[in-house]
Amino acid sequence: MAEKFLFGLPVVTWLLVVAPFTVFWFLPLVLAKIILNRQQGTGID
Amino acid sequence: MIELLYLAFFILYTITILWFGKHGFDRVNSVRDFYLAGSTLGLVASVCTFAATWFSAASMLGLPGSLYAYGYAAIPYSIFGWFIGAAFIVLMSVRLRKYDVVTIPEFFRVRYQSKLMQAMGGLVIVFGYIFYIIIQIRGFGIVMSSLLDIPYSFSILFIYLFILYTTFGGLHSVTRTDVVNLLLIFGGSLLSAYFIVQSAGGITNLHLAAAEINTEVLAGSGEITPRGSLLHPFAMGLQPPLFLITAFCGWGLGLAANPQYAMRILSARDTRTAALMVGIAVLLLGFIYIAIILAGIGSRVMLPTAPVDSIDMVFPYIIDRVLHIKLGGLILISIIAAALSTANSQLLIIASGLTYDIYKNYSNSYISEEKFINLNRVAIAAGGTISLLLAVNPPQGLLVFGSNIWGIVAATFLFPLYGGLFWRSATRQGAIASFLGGLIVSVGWLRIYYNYLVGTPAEIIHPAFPGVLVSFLLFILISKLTAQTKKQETNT
Repeated sequence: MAEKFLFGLPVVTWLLVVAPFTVFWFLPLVLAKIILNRQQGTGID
Repeated sequence: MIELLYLAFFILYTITILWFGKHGFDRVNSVRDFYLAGSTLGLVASVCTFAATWFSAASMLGLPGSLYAYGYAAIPYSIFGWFIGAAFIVLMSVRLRKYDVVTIPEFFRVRYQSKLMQAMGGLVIVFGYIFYIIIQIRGFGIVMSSLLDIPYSFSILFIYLFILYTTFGGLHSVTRTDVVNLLLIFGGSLLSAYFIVQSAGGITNLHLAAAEINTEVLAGSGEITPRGSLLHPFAMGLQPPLFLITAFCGWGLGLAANPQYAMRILSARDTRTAALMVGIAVLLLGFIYIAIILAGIGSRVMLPTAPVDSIDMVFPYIIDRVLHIKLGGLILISIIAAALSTANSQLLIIASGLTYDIYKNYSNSYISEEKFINLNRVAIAAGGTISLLLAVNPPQGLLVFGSNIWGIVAATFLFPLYGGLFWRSATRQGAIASFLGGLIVSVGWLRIYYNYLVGTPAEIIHPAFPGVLVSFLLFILISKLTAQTKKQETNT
């Protein structure tokens, strides 16, 4: 089966490198928002 | 003409740093002011100092060098771990701020009621950061010798003066200069990506050209890049999955346990600022890394074999000798900014380790705040001088060297720190055993790895892994055992 490409980059690299990069990139901010929202809900600081 | 432009950029940068750095001196009245800017930093200042401290010469020189050699496989090796490590720091931020402490080793003393833990923490900080600052001095030296056409050993004297000046004013000075440095890092990385991608004919053409490269990485090195490996997630076996996964013990867990970031949590105004600081800083850093990724791989397309001695020298070589643009000086200055902004933060932590966690921890004699802060300045000068002397013959491969040091930090700090914050059953004995066991195994394993394992199948396990594993096992086992003994003693 022929290898597929997107912007000249193999799809396997999009899946194994670019996609996790994007997830990990936003992870700290999402986590911070979740924790702060929970704290606000419980009134704990 | 271009040399004059470079000199002008450097003079302008020097004046800016001197101007921004001097204000910190007026605002230091206590140890908390000196180490933590009085724990008053707002969101913008916190984000700038966190991101600028994070983005060091390892990111600005080592990472483009690794991308040049291994392509996309350099991303899971380093950036994945860094971002996941940052998520750990977010978790830490909420709990850590409940303790009234000034340093992380002091947290060990308070949590485990152990002066020994504080002193051991201080000792690892002093040695670990003295070695890590070599990375920054080397990065600065490489760029300065390109920028002003002067020998490396002479050029590193400049960063010595820069870091001493910006650190003497404490975290207030460091933070103010970090704002300038972050702006330069942001601008420099985006500019370099723009010019390199443009010269490659766009992102798709850059990838198509990179896929065809099968040349030697560095002239005369004998290391050949297999065709297609620059775009392969594991560089076609050059960076095997097991190596990339275990490398997380160095970069990822080392970053998560790193006192330089934990100190930023303590210097933030409140818990909300601390948690958001990490998330927003990583968001900004993500854009910078995308630029560095394109610039690093694009550099290989522009120059498939680099006539330099080390992959760390590739990026400044491309900017200075291949790209030929008027803004090249600004990009080179941004590398200096990355090195300086990390070095001054680390030097401040070396001083806290030596004076606060070791000297003040064990000394019973009274010392005034003013005298103590001056003692810190002496420690800063001493730490900077030792790093400078060691940087005269620096290690090659900044990214690999950095991951090894962070591996030692992970093997010592990680479990006593996070276990102390999140696990009630963590005991003093467990923390001491974990710290000492992790230290001995991680340092010993580095010698074994580089003397006996390189070139064998065992090479694919990152050298940070055994130390972290031993540290984890000792922490859990000894804590459970001593907690049980304590419980039995209480019952009888």
